[in-house]
Amino acid sequence: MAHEGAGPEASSSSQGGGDTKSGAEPGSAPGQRLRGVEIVDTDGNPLGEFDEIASGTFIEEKSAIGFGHLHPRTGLPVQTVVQWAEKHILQKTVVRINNLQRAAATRPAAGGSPRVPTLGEILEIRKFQFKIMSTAPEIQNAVQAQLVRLRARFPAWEFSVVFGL
Amino acid sequence: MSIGLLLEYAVPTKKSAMVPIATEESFHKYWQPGCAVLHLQWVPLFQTGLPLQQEDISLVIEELGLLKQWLSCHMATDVPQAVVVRIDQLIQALQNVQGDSQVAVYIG
Repeated sequence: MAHEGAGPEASSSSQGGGDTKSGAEPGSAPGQRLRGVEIVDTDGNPLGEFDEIASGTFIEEKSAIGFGHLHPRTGLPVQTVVQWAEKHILQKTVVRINNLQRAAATRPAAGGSPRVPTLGEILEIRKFQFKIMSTAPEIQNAVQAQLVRLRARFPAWEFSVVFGL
Repeated sequence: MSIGLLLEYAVPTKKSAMVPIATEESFHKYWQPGCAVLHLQWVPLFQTGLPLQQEDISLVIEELGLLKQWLSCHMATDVPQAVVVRIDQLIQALQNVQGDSQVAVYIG
């Protein structure tokens, strides 16, 4: 397992503020892992979902494997690692965070934990961690590059990554 | 990974949108078995992600219809209705952007 590219950044990944006062963990009780949390708009339409919320952190799991797949129509590689990272790490996260402001409620996603945090609880969360199965250096580099962009865009948020899970 | 349909508009007045499809866990548990049985080509790629061109959308919708039908036949064996609802919502969202050259469509 490698945290934040296994470099010195591993122990200094916190960016910006956002920690709750007195060590409280918004969105989940200390040590509690809530899986499959969906946010919906006022009409009940899903706006997004989170794989897991634990220790006051949104956790997004990504396998980041299988890049050899060929496009069914063109027969060409579907995407490069850099393109994947830009979509999955940057763009999807930007939309996710923005959609939190449009959310009206939370509910369990299919197969998710029966108890989910309230909207108010998850709106307090300012930490986002990516858990990436792959340990390939090119994936780590591409992910780190997008984390830099995320931190610049959301300075009040703390973004981190763990590779090899 | 939570998988979603990401829509990015060339028009600045329209904001990017995401339609959630499945969590990693749900995709493994409910979607992938049907993909394997039906030998689907497009839907399994959702996990890693793929950009869709306009000419791809109808092919993806066709596969989603097959998967929905297969899942509906297996509802008694533990497939939550919410999974089928998600497929319906995805089909609807894809139909809504068919023919719209101002939107970039990505699933992943």
